[in-house]
Amino acid sequence: MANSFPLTFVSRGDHVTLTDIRAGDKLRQHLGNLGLHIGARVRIVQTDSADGLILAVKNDVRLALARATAQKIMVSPVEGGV
Amino acid sequence: MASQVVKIALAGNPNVGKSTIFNALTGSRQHVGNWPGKTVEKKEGRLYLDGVDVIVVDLPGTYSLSAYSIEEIVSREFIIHEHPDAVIAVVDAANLERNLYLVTQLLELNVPVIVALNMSDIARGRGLTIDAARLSAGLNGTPVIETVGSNGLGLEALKQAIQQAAASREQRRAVIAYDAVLERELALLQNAIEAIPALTQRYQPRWLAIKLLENDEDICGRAVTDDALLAAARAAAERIESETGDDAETWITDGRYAFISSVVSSAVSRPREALETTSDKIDRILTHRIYGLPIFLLLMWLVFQMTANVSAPLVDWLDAVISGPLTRWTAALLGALGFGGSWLEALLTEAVIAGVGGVLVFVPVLIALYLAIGVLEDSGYMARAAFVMDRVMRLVGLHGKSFLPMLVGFGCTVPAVYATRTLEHDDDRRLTAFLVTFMSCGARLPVYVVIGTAFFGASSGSLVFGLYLLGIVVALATGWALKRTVYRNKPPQPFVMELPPYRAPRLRDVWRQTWSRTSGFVRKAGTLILATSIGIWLLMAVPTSGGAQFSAVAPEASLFGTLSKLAAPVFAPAGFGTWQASGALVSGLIAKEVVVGTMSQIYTPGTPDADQSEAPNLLNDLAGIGSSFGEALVLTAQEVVNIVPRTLNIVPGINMAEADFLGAGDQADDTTALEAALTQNFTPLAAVAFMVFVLLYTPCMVTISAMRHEFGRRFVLYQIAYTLMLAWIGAVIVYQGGLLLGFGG
Repeated sequence: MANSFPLTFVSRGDHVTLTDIRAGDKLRQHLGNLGLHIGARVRIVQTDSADGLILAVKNDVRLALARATAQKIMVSPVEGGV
Repeated sequence: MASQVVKIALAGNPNVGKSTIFNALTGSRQHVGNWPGKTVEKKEGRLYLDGVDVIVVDLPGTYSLSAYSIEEIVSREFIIHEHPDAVIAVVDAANLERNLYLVTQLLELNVPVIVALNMSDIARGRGLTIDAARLSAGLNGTPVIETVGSNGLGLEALKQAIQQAAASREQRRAVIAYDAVLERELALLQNAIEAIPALTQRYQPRWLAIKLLENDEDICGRAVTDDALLAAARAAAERIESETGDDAETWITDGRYAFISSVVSSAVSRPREALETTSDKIDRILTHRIYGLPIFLLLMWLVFQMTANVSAPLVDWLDAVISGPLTRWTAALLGALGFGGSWLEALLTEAVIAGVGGVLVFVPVLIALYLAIGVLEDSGYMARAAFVMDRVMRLVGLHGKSFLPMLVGFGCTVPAVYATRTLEHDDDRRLTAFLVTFMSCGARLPVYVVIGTAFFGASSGSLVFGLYLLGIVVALATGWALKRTVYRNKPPQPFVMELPPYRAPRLRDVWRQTWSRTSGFVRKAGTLILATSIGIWLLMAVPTSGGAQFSAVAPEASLFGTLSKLAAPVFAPAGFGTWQASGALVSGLIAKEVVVGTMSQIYTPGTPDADQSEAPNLLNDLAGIGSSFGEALVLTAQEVVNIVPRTLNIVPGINMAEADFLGAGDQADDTTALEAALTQNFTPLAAVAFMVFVLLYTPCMVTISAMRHEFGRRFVLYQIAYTLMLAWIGAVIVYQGGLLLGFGG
């Protein structure tokens, strides 16, 4: 998809939508169970935490992702927010 | 309806207040165990409703019923094979979408579901309003009961729903309609499944069809063995991908979320809220890439203080009561019955009471640890700790959460083994438990100190520090090596974790958790330790030369002494090939500090180890137990207070005095006779090799029984073999290497 980049290239407060998850079935399923499925909209809550970032899914759930995992998730920006 | 037994399962995401509802339903009628063959905690409780006997099974907290973690598989298998009369899905109103994901999967399993919509404090704080009737209608008539965990609201309605479900056993079908292409393939697969009776007897056909399309690891790899069906599923998945451009799994996840979104949007109204919550603000500091780690280390230091020091006075008290008054009373009772001085008295006092006492003295340690862990878990910090430590632990192939057990291991290996329960994946747990035994526990310290001061006097401090360091290095090296051999095919678990909002810990829940974990240990470990104590006692009681009597024999002339002599040559290359040394090591299996006790018995016989100047009477004993308990409580309080100076004193330049409530100060141990004997029997180099062996060899039997309880017999056998081998190699390297370098004198 055009204008798509890994989840590691975001800044705090960005709203993005997931376009692709470059991972095995198992991880993809697990991410999906946690609300990170393709098409899901997330907001970036922190980018300077530990070795990774914290996301808000549907504005409620907070998910912590290691940088290595975030690199596998492709996103594109959303106008207007969640 | 009389004596009808109904089985209800309690399912839900982690941290939704499931255990609060479980506790409220079943009260104290609970039973904690492990799932058959698995190391996941299994909780069962009972509830009586108008003559109906209800068994409530608390399933592990999971996000879904896929096959990602062992908890998910356990939950799923229970629902499929045990056919509960109903499943109560506890749903957190604050996270409705994600929580309903699990509910849709339950509905797809075609099991009667009752939704307990838990209005958590967070949900209410956000001003959410949820129309339970609309939610119920959206879920195809599934009963939705509003509950408030903290005040028990909705509990009666929940009980009524259980009764109704049990009476009707009405099944509901989920109405998730997937994309048309997907539905077409599902129908084809469903037909194929229905032609195989072995499968339809066990599984709901539509559910199985969905799982086949999802390429579910457990189903495709284990449950379904029919090659034609598996091939059909693969073909279906390929058709879906080529026709739509997305794989089946994505369609299924999307379908579930689309269904959930439509249900939620009709039932929930939420006020516009601030984007940044209080939790987010706290996280900006606690998970910060720079401050996060020091804060974490400080908290872990506090946990360590709790387990190692705060519990110590009560441990000493229990130890004194068991080895003092309790042993005396038993002896007096046996004497009154005419068994005085008999082998029965020796068996009861030396093996049974000492053995069981050895377990009981761990109770304060475990309670302190579980309280600390419980507070960290319940407050929501544990998830952050794992996040902060993940990068560091990953270097040696471990998960972020492995840090806590390793640290606790410096206090005592037993709670460390149990602390691995906070890890989600079984492989991570096993690897971590395998490594915690190399952390020098508190019981090894007296061995280092006694031997160290005997040979090196004041400079023994750096030797002790070196031994601690060696343990850490060995643990890291073992982890590194195992991750490249035994666990080679297990790539590190990717780090994705939910961070629950922070909240004040609910002490009732923390205490309940603490108690059930501690009592579980006492029950399970007690039996094995009792048996081992009796075994070692027998070895020491059986004479091997004529003339000596059963249970009245010098250690050297017992079967124990004889066996020690047989084992001794094995240790010759390490410099301590005497029967005394190997005997001390064998007895150290009971508990590592026993090594010192045995040595003093063997090397300095005739010095009684307990003062028996005058036998106190029962009344004095009782008064003594009471007053020493009071003293122990005061000391416990003192240790709690002293956490502050100890913590501040880490900072260079600060030297705050520690509180000393009883003015007792440190008591000097009377070990000089032993120290003199040691210097005659060991060379300094052999003494170091001996300490290295004590550090690395097989953990004490309380640890072994804890490990067996958690991971099974095979794991323990590997652990014993590995540690014995490693300890021997380590000791030999130290001794022979030292000789080569000229330290032989």
